[in-house]
Amino acid sequence: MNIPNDLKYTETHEWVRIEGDVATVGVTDHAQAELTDVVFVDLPQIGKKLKRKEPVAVIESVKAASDIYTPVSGEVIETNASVKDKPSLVNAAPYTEGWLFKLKMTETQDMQSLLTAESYKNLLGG
Amino acid sequence: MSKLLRTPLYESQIASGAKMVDFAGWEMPVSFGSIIDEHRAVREKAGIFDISHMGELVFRGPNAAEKLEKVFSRRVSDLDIGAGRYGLLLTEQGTVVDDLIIYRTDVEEFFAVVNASRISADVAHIQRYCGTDWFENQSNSWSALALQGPVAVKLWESYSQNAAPARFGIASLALGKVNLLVARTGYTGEDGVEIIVPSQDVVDIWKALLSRGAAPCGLGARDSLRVEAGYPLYGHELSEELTALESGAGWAVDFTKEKEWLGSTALSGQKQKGVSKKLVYLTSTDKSAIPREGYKLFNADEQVGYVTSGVFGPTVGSGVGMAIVNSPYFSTESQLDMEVRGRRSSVSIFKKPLYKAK
Repeated sequence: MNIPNDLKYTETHEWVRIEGDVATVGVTDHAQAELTDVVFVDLPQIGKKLKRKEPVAVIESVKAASDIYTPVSGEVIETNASVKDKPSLVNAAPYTEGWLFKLKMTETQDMQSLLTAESYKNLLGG
Repeated sequence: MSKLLRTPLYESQIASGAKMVDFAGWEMPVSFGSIIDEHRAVREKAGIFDISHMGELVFRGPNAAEKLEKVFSRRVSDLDIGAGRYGLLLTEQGTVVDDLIIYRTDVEEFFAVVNASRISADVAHIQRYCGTDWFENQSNSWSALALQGPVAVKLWESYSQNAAPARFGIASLALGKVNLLVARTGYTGEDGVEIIVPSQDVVDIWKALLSRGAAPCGLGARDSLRVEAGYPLYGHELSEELTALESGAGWAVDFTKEKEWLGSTALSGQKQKGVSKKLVYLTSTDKSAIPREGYKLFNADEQVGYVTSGVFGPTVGSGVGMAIVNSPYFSTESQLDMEVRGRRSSVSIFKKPLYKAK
């Protein structure tokens, strides 16, 4: 299972990349494998203010619908148009082209609650 | 939780990249990478499924046919040797204990393939109404494979060097030193065979069929294929809560049987009166509103039904599902609203399944 070291993670299997006050969010390799073939991604509106741990997006796969929770609070500044057109990017490249949305962070202390790659790996059972 | 059971193919499937899930107490592959690719392999070429978890019951004796006809929804006494028939085990109320295929394998011998989750319920039910000494639960001795798709039969025939039986037929076959059963049946909407084989020999056959081009497929594709084809799954469309007629399985009930059978009074009455709810098929073109089990269906503000199974159908290209809806909404092809995460989305209701093989 691919768990890049430079990202932070949540117990609900999202990853977040923090650059300044901008957080990019997606789902982990483990999550995409659990979801199976993604066929639709419902993303939040740009400008929407999100609270940490809120369900903010939905991924529909062949077999199930799954909520995506935002790892940090903030305002949506960009969503990934490519995954709208090609939802399978979430499966093929969960950490790169399959990212979901970007937030301008409003609560810097949110970062402390995120998991490191190592803690996330432990959560998955090594 | 008790330890999950594994079929003899566990190791081989892990080696092929299987992702395993719990299904009816068994650790079974949900997919070998992509459900959509597996689904397409079955619709376009050939896919192979491990169905070793399913149950096998053998019934014997001069009265076997008569006893079976008491608990089974259809006739079996008129079956030729080597012929089979799909039907239901019914309760006195006309609800469903299981759906199964019964084959006649000899003059006084019948072979049934039943759902994994229902083996013990079936055995208890048959014992209760027909006694114990005339049938045997052989589920632990057999494994099974489903080879499905437009080229599946050709693939099987070239491998086994034997002609496959006719639709719903079964034949015993000696393949080298292995004695197995081949049935022309499946659960995908495509032609194919189900190969019932002694557990110690299943791995070799699985590997041989993979090497001849059959794609390994998991329960994910099995579900999307059967939902498109409109096949019911026990615990979803079929249960002891719904009668056979409500489940849309009235076609698999033979009301012309001479002797009284379990459920005959209840179902004959319901047939005459008409059902108040019934199974329908549905599609949703809105990809953000794929039908899922448990979603509620509305006509204006009134809840008139619920979804029993739902997937994204890779061949149909939209959300597809089945639902139980109240009268009169099952008698016309119309639109209803489905509640999805707090909002409503329109779905189309059909009286027939959405996919039929060409």
